[in-house]
Amino acid sequence: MDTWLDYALARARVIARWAARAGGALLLAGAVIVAVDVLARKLLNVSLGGADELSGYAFAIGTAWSFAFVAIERGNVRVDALYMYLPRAAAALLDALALIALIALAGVIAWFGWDVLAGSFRLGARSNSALAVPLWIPQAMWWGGYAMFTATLALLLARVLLALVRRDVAAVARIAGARSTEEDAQSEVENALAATAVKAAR
Amino acid sequence: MIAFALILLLILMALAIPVAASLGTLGLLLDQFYGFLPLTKAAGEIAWSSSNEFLLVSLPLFIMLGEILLRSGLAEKMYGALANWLSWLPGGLMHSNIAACALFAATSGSSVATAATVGTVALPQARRFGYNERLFLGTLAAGGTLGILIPPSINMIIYAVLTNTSVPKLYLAGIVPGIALMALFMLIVLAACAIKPQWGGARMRSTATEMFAGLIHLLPPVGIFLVVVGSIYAGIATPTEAASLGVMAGLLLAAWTRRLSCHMLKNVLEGTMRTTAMVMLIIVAAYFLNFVISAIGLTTQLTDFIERLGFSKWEMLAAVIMFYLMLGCFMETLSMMITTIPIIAPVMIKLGFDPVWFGIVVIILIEAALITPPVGLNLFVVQNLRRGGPLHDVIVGAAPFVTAMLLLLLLLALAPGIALWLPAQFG
Repeated sequence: MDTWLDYALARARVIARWAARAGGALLLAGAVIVAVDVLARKLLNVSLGGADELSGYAFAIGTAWSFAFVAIERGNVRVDALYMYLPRAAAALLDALALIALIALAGVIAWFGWDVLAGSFRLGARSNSALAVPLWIPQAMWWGGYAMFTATLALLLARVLLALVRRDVAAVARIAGARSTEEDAQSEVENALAATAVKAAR
Repeated sequence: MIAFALILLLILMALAIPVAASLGTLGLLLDQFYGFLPLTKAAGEIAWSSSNEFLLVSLPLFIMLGEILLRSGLAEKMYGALANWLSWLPGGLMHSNIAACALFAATSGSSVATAATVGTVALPQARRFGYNERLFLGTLAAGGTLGILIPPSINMIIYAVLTNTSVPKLYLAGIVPGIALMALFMLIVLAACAIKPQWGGARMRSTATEMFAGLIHLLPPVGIFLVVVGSIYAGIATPTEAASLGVMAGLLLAAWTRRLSCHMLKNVLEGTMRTTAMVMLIIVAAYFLNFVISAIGLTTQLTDFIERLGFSKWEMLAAVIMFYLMLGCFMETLSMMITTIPIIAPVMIKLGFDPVWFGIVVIILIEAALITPPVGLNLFVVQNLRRGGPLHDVIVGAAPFVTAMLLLLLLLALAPGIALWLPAQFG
């Protein structure tokens, strides 16, 4: 069971990372469109139109696709003023609770977000602009992000619960613990090394 | 109801439930207990509409600009150039830290990005030249907070969205207080090093040639500032459009310094989305919570409660400042702004405070929140940049700079023109 779950988690990690990169690329594309639109408007006196709307969709979709990445990297802000003084076992229980609360939030948005998407599709709703985009298209891509987020959280929770049953608190901390200072310092050293590598390559 | 909501929120946060999930759960529970209609049903609609708002698009774009500038090598050169000019002062590089933060703030809308970028460049110097590490860390954490006071500013955009205030006016209003705060920070370093000269590290002297040759490295940040802030006043761009232009300019700069590569871009995108998704989840959850608390009448209860206190204009200001200072210790700043501004700003404006002026006051309080423990994002950022050591060092080092912020607030109350003079000049 745990090998299967670990395999699924490893896969989810790779997928989430690429989804976040794709989301970022989408956002960057939105920025390019907006910048081109401004320049065209000022320099050539031509307006492409719709750049603001498209970048808004890119933002919504790109963000939604990145939630799973943040969750799996344990990047969500947690107030650890009390947490850091707790024994590992108690902290492990709070880690599970944190995942459950995140699932409640993501699940509620995904659940009722589906209504938004289904409603747009049923009514053939189009955006109130020159582009008249059928709203279900960006909404479906946006909803996909929340669905992936919820599924990733469920996977994380399953793994954490399994570890809790086995009283493996170290595994819980590794999968869902609040990021500790040492870990952050460590990843920072890696970043610094990467930056030096860039300089050496020059 | 007020007490119940507050206590519940405190419990959720204390249990280390992620901030976004705490706000979301509080919204769900308040709806369960006090909602007449199933308010939760609106969660999907709120999440969708809040996450494609055009003004908010500028938020990830400013984060992206910060990520690009971090990797463009701009900060290293700029820091070196400023160090040549400032390191003869008692306190040496600590002045360059503050000045580099102020200059970087003019290209970046985020305090966290400012502290991270300047910190990455500056921290290796602290031990090398024997500075008092605590004060050195403090200048970075506090200097970084200038990021949101000196335009562009992500937090000002959020304030503008929540209160219908003009972003260009807020930007102008932030410039003079930003420079004043930078000067106050430097005075603190000077005073500290006058009392304890050994804190100031080894002095360095630069030749005049070095000093003037280095000035060329200040051109890129000035150029980015002109693109992202200047374009707004030239009437060319809205804040989001200016941010898009800034991202393009940042990429051009990175190409110029030969730092642009697939690998670098991949890291930029990853870093941008990590921060954006983290912040946006909080914003979406807070929008949902705001919707619930105004629907169940908690917002009016709160405003009524505030008005019943019967405070005068200035008593109210003092109370609000105390409130934000306390709340800022425990709450992440964006969620703090998003949850409180819709309630407090209307009360303050009704009492006769100028919305732009109050915006600057809020931004300075947010800056204080960023460096007050236990939850001060800038403290964590600087701590993460070190290779170990207790968080306590950063907290102690940043503490004196909070007094500079309080002093600036006092000055702003005595002479509102510090903020309002510049916007008035531009009509």
